[in-house]
Amino acid sequence: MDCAECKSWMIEAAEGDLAEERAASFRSHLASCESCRTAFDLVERGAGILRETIPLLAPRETYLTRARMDQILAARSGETKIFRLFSYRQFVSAAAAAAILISAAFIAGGLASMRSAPPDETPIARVAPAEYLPIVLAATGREDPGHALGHMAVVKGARTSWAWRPQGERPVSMDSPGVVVPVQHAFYDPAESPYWW
Amino acid sequence: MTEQSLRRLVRLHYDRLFRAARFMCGNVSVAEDLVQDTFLAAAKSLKTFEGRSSPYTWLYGILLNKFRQWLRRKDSAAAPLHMGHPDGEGAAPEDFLPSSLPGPEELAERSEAARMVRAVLDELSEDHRSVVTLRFIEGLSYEEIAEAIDCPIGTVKSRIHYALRKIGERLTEEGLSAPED
Repeated sequence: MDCAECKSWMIEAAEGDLAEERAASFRSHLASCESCRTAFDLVERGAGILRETIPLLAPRETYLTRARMDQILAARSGETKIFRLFSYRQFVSAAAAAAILISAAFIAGGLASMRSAPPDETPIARVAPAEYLPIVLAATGREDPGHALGHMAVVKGARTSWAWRPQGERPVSMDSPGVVVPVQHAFYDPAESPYWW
Repeated sequence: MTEQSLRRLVRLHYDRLFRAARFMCGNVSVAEDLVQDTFLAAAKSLKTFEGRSSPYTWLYGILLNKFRQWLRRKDSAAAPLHMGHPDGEGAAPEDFLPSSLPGPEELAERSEAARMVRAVLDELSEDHRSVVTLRFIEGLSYEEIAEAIDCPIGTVKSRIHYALRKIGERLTEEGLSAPED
């Protein structure tokens, strides 16, 4: 193996994807070539640290919330319907009128907002942190906490105070008034999961 | 596209696209906007989708265009790493990790390493970032990446090689320890 070929296999080698025969040849070249050894060391360190930090840079979570879905649908609906129904001039007039109405609504609603529902961006369902695992395990009888934690979804504001379901299975509602679980990031669609409410 | 179709498309692909967008731009709220714009553009141009690639690849192509537009708008000065929750609240790094992972000291080291990696990513060109995203976030093969971004496999590998080497060099410069295998 020469330096050019060695270089061409470095990322596979760094990711452990080289076939054994080629890996042996690759190692043999590195042993005799300091330049390639130095280059490979950098690539390998880069690959290692990148993999280590990906859970921080782009955590594998459920990000879609009902509010976000509504926002996308509303934006799309706004783009298609408004422009189809109105001419540009009518649209500008309507937009100005809407702005006035919205401002008035804001002022009127401002005082009442103190006691209103949580902000739209609040996810309605989230994944519970570890300290709530015993509660969930007690209620569900699951003995594999890691798995249960990884797939646990808790719904705030459910008719029962909260509900849990393993991913892909029917949710389990539990009457546990007073249990308020701080939770994060799971998508819930009432149209598809009527059991949740 | 009907609302139901859009809803299904969003449900199937939102999380993957968001993760990719977040990795590329390093900012949660920007990533949200980019992904929303992606779906809106997809809803408009569904007729242009010829089915030659997977829906995700098609969506990713749109996302990449949105990302390029965003980069141009902000004159390529990438936003700093946002370590908060996706809903915008602040959070410690350990909030992102399963409870079985290491304690505070190692998390602090990883957090520092993540800051360094973020800085290097932000210095990379959009083409390099895109390839790294597809490889390390999406786990696509080199062939799949080449197809997704329409360039030769050699170019894909060369870009990944460059990015990894750059990260490795910065790791060395800053004296951070490489992870143990």
